[in-house]
Amino acid sequence: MSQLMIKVGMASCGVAAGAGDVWKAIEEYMANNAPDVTLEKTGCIGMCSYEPLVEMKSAGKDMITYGNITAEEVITAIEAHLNNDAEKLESVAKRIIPRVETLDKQSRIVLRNTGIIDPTSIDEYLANDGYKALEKALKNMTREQVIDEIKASGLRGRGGAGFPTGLKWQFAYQAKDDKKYIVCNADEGDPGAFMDRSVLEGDPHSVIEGMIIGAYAIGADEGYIYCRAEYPMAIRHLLIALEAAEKLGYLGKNIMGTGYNFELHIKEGAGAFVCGEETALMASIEGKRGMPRIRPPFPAQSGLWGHPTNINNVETFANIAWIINNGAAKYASLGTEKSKGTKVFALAGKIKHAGLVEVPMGTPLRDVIYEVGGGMLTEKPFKAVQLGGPSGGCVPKELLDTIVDYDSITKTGAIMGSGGMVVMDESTCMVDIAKFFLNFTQNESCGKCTFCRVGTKRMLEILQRITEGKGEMEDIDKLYELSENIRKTSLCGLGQTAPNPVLTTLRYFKHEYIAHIQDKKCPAGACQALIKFEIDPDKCVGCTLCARRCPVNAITGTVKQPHVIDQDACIGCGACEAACKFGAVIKS
Amino acid sequence: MIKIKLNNREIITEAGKTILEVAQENGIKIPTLCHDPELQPYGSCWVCAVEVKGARGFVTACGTRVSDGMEVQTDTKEVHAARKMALELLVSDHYADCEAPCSVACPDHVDIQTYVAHIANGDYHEAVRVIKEKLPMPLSIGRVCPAFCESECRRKIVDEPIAIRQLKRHAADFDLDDYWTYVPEKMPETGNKVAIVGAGPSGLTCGYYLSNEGHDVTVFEASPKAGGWLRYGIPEYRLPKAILDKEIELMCANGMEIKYNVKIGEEITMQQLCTEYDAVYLALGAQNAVPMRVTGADLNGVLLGVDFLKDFVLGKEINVGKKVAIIGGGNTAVDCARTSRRLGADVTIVYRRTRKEMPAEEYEVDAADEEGIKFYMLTNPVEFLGEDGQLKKVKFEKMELGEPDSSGRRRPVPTGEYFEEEFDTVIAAISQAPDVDFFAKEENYVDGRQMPLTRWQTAEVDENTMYLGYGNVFAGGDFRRGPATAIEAIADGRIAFEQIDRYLMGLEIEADKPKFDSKKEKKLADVSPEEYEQYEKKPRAKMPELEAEVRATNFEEVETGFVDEDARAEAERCLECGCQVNSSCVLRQYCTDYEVDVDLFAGSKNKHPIDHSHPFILRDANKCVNCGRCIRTCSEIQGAGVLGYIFRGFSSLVAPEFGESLTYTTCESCGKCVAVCPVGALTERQVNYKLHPHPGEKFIQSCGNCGVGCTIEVNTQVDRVAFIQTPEEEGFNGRNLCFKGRFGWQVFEDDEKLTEPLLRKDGKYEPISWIDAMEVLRENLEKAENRSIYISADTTNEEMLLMQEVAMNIEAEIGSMSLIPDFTDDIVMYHRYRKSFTEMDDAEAIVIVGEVSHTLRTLARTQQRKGKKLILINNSDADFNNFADAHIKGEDFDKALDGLCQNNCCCDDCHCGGSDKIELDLPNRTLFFYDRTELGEDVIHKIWTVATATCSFGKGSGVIPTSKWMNLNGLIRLGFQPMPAIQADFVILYGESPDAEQQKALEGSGFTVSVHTHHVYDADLILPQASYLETEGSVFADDHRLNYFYNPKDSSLFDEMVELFADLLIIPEAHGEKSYWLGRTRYVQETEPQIPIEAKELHEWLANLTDLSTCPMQVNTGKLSRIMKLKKETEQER
Repeated sequence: MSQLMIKVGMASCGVAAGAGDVWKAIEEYMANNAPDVTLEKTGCIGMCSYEPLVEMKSAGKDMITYGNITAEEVITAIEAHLNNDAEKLESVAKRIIPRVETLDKQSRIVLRNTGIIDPTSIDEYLANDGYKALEKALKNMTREQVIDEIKASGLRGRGGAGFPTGLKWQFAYQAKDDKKYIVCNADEGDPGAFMDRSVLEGDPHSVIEGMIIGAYAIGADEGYIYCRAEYPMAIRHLLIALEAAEKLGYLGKNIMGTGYNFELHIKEGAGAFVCGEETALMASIEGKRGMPRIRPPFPAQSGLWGHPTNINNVETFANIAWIINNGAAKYASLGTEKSKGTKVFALAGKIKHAGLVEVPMGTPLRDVIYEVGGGMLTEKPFKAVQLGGPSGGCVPKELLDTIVDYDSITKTGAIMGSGGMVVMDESTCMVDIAKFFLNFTQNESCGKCTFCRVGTKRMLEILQRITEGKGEMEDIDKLYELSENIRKTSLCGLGQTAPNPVLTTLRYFKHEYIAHIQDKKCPAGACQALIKFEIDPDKCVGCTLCARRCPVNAITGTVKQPHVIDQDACIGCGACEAACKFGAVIKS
Repeated sequence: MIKIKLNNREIITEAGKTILEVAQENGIKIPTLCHDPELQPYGSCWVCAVEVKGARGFVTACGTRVSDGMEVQTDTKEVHAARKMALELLVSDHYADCEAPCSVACPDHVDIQTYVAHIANGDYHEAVRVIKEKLPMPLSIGRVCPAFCESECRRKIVDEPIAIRQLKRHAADFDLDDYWTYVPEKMPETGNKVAIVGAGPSGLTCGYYLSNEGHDVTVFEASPKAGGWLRYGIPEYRLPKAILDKEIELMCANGMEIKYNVKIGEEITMQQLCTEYDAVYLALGAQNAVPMRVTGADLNGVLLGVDFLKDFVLGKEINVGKKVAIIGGGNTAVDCARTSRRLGADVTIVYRRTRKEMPAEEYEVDAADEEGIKFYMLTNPVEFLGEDGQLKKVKFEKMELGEPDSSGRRRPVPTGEYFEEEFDTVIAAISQAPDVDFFAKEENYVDGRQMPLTRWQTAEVDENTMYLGYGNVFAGGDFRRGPATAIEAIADGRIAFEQIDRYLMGLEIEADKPKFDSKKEKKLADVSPEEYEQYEKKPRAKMPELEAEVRATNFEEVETGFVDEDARAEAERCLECGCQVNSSCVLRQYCTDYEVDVDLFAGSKNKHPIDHSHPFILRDANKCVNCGRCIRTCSEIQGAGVLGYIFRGFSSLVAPEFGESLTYTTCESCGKCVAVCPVGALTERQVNYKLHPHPGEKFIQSCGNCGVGCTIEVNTQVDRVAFIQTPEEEGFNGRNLCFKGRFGWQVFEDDEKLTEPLLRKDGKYEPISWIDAMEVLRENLEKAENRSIYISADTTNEEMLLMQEVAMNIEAEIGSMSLIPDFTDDIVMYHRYRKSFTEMDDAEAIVIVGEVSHTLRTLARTQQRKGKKLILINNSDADFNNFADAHIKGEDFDKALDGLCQNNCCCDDCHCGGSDKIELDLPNRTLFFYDRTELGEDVIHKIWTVATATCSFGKGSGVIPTSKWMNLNGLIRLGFQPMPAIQADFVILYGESPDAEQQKALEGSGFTVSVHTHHVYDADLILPQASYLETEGSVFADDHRLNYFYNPKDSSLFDEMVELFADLLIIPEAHGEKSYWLGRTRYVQETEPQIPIEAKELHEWLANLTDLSTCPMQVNTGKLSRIMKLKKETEQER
C-alpha cells in the first residue's frame, strides 16, 4: 500500500465543478515529485454540493474527505498528508467535510460501489463481488428460481410506477416467442434527477450484470441500454464496461461456459423526455418517432419489433446482483411492508447537502431532508419538497413525516418517481413552481393525445395569467377540470401525470393561487409581474444610483430630490432595490 | 363468443373486436377522428373516450378490445364532458374558418365564396343561382349594398378587399342580358295563401321564396310601384329604375302578385288579412321622416330627405333653388345632396361630427366630393331664418368632438361659436321611423290584441324567426329594425319566408340550431398578417364610372360595370377562406353535436401559411388535428411515407419531411391522405379553375384512365369536374385511387382538351361546326376508293360498335393499330377466362410483376396486412418495394422469372435456365398481376408458365393481366384484330395516337381523320372524342366487369358523333341516337357465351403453348405521357 491513497470524484458533477483541474494538478505534482501516492478516480461520491471532492487516506489513518477543494489546495493537502505537516493541514482543514453526517443515515445497495471504485476498471468491480451473482444465477439457478428470488425480494420498479419487478419478469418469461429482448431504461430526464447518471458513470457493471441476470431469467438473448445522449460520460463508461465484460466472457456467446448467449447494445436517445415512457422508448429504438402507443398489448407480450420485451430502469437493475448475492430475505428485511429495500434520491434545491443519497424505504422525509441532507441551505424556512419531477407533486411541511414508501407518497398526491427531490423554502412561489414543471411537460409532450398536447398548453396559459395577476377565480375551476380530464385521457404516463404539480400545489397551497388572483399578490414575492417597487420619498436622498441601474429607465428625479418609479415602465427586476444604500426602495 | 355489458345492456360478441366496432354494430354512435378502419388503433384524438369499469381513467373506444365481462359506458355525463372538452381543446388550436368571413359578415349570409368562384370560372348563371339561394335581388343589391362582406374580406390583409358587390352586379347583369335568365323551378302549388304588406326588398324577398315553394302570394303596396326604398329612396344614378323593374319582374316569375295603391289600415285592415290569408308578413318599412327640432323647421324651403327623394321619383315638381343645405351624414343625406346637385344646385352637406364619423359609405361621400358638393363638418343648424314664411338663412353653430357616446363615436359638443349663411332650401335627412298609427284601431288588431311596438315605433317580434308570437303574423325589414340597409331587410324577408313556410307546413316555428363555426379570429384586425405574406399583391379592379363633370349634370347610372376580363380577374383574387370541406367535416359535425364552446379554452394558436406548393394537394396545417391518419396511411399502406410529425408539445405538427413542401418528397400524388383526412387539412387542389365549398352533383361511375376500372365519384360543379373521390358505397377499390384516377383526369379538363372539330387549312387548324365537318367528310368519302378505320382500346364499347357499323357501311378495313397481340388474347376471346380483382380476398399470395396500377398495388398491400404474402418482381426503387415479403430484382424480369420458373417447374427438363435459384414457396392460391402494355410477350409467357406450375386457377388462384387501356378487353371481345398502319384514300383514326413509325406509314394517305380527346396527330380533320367524363357508355375492365360512364359533364360530344354518321347516311337514321348504341352493347354482352373455362382445360391449353418469340416492350405512350406532362408543367409553373 502506498503512503497515500487519493481518490477524486470524477463523475459529471465533479468535472462540472472543476475536478478536472484538481486531477490535472495532482497528476502534474506526481510527475514532478514522484511521491509514494496512488491516484484513482471514482464516480459520484454523493455530496454534489461539495464538489470537487477528493478523498485522502494515509496509511494507517482514517480517510479524510475534502470538499470544494481547489487545484492549489489539493497540492497543499497532499503535501500535508505526505509530510504530516500540521501547519499545512491546518490551512486546508476548512475543506474537510464530516462525511459521517451524510452517510450514517444511508444504506447503500445501489450505490454500493459508486464513488468507491474506479468505474472504468472491471477489476475493481470484480474485486467487489462483481459478476458473482451472474455466475450464481447462470450456474446454480434455473430461470424460475431467479424470478422467484426477485419476487421474494419485494423489489419494485424504480422508474417511478413501482410495479413488482419479479412479476414483470415472470410475464416476459411466460410469453411464448423465440426472440425476446431486455431493455434498460436509462433515459433519465426529470429536472433535478441524476440518480441513473451517477450509477451508470460510477458503477456501470452493476447495471450490466443486473441486465444479464434479467435476460437469462426471461429468456432473452439480446438487450438494449437506452441512454440519453446528454450523458456522454455514462455512455463512455458503459462502452468501456461492455467491452471489458465481453472480453472476460460475461457477455456474448456462451457466457462463462454455460452455453447462454446474450448480446447487449447501447442506443443513444435523442433527448425527448417522452422516450422514457416504455412504448415510446421502444419506438425510438426501432428508429421511429418516440411516441407512446395504446396498451395492451404490453411490452411483455409485444414489445421491440413485436417480440416480448422486458424494460426496467437503471436503479432496478443495479439492485439485482446484490439481491442474488445476499439473498432476497436480506433485501426484504429493509424497508416497509409494501416497499422493500432502499431508494436513491437526488437531493436538490434549497438544501445544505445537495447530492445523491440512498436510504432504506420507510425513512421519513424529514430525516432525508434534515439529517441526511443536512437541513435547509439558508435561514429561510422550509416550505415544500417536490418529489417525482414533472410527474410528481409538492409535499408541504405539514406532511414532512411521511415515510419514503410508494403508497405513502402517493397518498400525498405526489409520487415516488425516479427519485428527484427538490427542496423549496419560503421564497418559492408555488404557482410558479407548478408553472415550471407544467412548462416542462408541455414542451416534452409528444403531441399525440389531444388533452396532453393542447390541454397542458391551456393549463400553462392559465398559470401564466395567474402569475401575471390576470387570473380569475374561474381559472381555478378550469385548472381542476383540465387536470381531471388530462389525467384520465392520455395514453402514457407523461400526460396522465402532467397535472400532478398543479393538483398538489392546489391541494396544499390554494391560498397562494387565490392571493395571485384576488389580491394580485405573490406571497413568496417571486412573480415578477406582481412585484411593485416604490421609493420612499422620506428615505430617498436623490443619489441617482437607482436611476442609473434601472435597465429600462423607469426611474426619474433630479439630484438630491426624491426619485419616482414609473410603474408602467417598471419590469420588476429589483435592480433598484439592490442598488439603494438607504433602504428607500420598498418592495411590495 | 364473449359477453359484455354495453350501457347496461348485455351483448354477446366476439373477442378481439374494439369497443368502437361493437358499439357501431349495436347502433351506438361514438365519435372518432383518428380512427381509420384500414389502420391499427391509434388513440390520439380521445374524442371516442368511454368508461370501462375498473379501468384507470377513460379508455379509447377505438383502441380497446372487448373482453369477457367488460362493462362499458359510452353515454355518461362524464364521457360527454370529456369528449366535449377534447373537441374544445382541438378547436382552440384550429386556426381556420369554416365559413368564409365575408359570408359570416353578410347580414343575409350569402355564399359569397362560391359565387365569386363561379364568376372566376366564368359561370355567371351559376353564380346568380347561388346568390339567389339567399338573396333574390342581385341586380339591385349589386348596385346599392354597403357591402358588409368587404369590410371583413381577408384579402384586405394582402392588399384590398375583393370587389364583391360589383362582382355580384356583374354576374346579375350578365344573367339578365343573356338569352336565358335564371328563374328557379317552381314547386307544386300548396294552396296556401300568404299576404305580404309592403313591396320593398323585405316583402318581395319573402314573397319570392314563398312563391317558389308553391304558395300563393299577394303583396299589398301603398305606392303606385314596387321596390320600396330601392325605388323611392335610392336615386336613379345609383340604381336605374329600369333595372329595378326587371328585377321585380323576375321575382314575380313564379306567381307572386303585387297589388298597388293598397294601403294597410285604409284600403284593407289587419283583421281582413289575418282571416283571409293563412299567413301575413308585415314589411311596412320605415318611411316617415323624423323632423328636425329647430326653430323655423316649418318654413317653406325646409324639406325632409325621405319626402324629397320620394317626390322626386314620383315626378312631383321640385324647385330647390340655387343653394341647398343638406343636414345629416347618412346615405339619405348624400343621396339628397347628389340629387340636388343634379338639379343644378350648389350643395353643402352639413354634419355635426367629422367626415370620418359619417355613417354614409365612404365611396358615396367621395363620389359626392368629386361631384363638387361642399362639406361643413362639425357644424349644426340651430335656427332656420325666413321671411314671409320662406327660408332665407340658416344659423349654424360650430361643434367640437368630446367623449365617445354609446355608439362608440365621439359626441359632438357645441362651442358657442355661430355663423349664418343664406340658403334657398334645407333638406333634413336625420332619421326615419315606421308609420304605425293605424295599429291602434281595433280593426287592425291581431287576435284581439294590438300589435306590440317598441319605443322606436318598430315591430316587436322574435329576431330569429320574425314571428309575432301569436296569430299568423310575421314582421321584418325596416319595420322591425328601423331604418337599415336593403340587405338587412332581405335577410329578414328570407328568415320570415323560412318560418312562414314551416308554419304553413305545420312545423314548429323555430330557428335552426346554429352550426359550429370556427373562425381564425373574430375580427379581421386580429388576423395575423404573417401567414398572408405568400400572396402576391394584385390591386382591386376599379369599377369604371362616368366622369364626375358628366354625371353631376344628369341621372345616368354612375357605375358603368366591369368588362368580363376584369370581373374574372377580380374574382380570381379571392383567397377562398371558407373551408373546402365545411359541409362534410367530421370535426365540425361533432362540435355542432356537442355544442362546443370555442372560447372556453381560447389561447395561443399554431399558425402556418397555407401550403399551395403541391399541384394537386392543398395542405392547411392550421386545420390539422394531429390524428396522424395521413401519416399512417402513407407509410403503412401506400408505402411512400412522406408525411410525419415534426416538433414536440403544443407545436407538434404533421408535415412532410423536414417541414418542406410535399413536392420535395417521393409523394406519388395518390391522394389517399386527402381521402382519410377527417378535416380540411388536406384537400384536393385544382389547377384549372377555382373550387368552392358549395356541394355540387355527384356521379358514381368507372374511372377511364386504365383497364383496372376503379369506381369513382365524380363531383361536378356546373358541368365541370371539380374533384374525383371514391364514393361512400365503395367499389372494389375501396378508398383507393392512383394519381391518374384522383388527379390525372385534369388533362381532360384543360385547355388542350378538344371540344369542337378542327379542319386543317393551309397547314393551320381552324374550328368548324359539326355540320361543316360532315360536309368535308362527305366530300372526301365520295372521292376515296379505299378506306380504313383504326380504333384503339381507349374507346367505349359503343364507340367500337359504332365504328364497326360505319366500317361495314363504307366498306372500310377496320382494325387496331395500337393493339399488340399476345397469346393471352385467345384465352380471353375463346376460352372465356374471367378472373376478378375481388379474388384477392381468396388468394394466399399475390405476385406483382413489373409496374401495375398503384391502386392494385395498394389493394395487394391491404391483403398483405391481413396476413397474405406479397411478392414483387421489378427493378424499380419505389418505397413500396419495402413492404414486399420478397422483392425480386434482377437485371431484367426475365432472370427473376427464370428463377421462379426453376423453382416451380415440375418438369425435369426445365426450359428456363435461370442461374440463381430463388426460394419462393408459392401457395396454390397465388394471384399473379402484370401489365401487358408494359411487358414483352416472352415475359408474359413466363408468368403464365410459372402460374401454370403453381396455380389451380380456382378462386384466388391464377393470373390477371392488366393494361393501361381502359377497354382492351372490349376491343378483344368485340373481335377487333391488329392492323398495321398503311396509307389509304380515306383513314379514320379513332382514339389512336400513332407513333412516329406509324405516322410515316400513313404518309401519303388521301384524307385522314383523327378522333381523339387531344390533338395527337396532324390529320386533315380532327374530331373531338368524348373522354370518360363526357360520355355515356361502357367498357370491359381488366377483370371483365362491364363498367359504365354516366357523362358527368353533361357533354353532347358523343351525340354529335353519332348524329354525324347518321347525317352522313352511313349508319341508319334509327342508329343516330346514343341510346341505340348503349342497348347494342347490352345485347352483345348478353349474347356472349357465358360458360367459363375450367381449370383443367386452361392447364391443357397453357401446356400446349410453345415458346414464343420475344416481343418488343410496349408502352402505351399516349395518355400516360400527357398526364405526366401535366404533372411536370404544373410543378414547373409553381
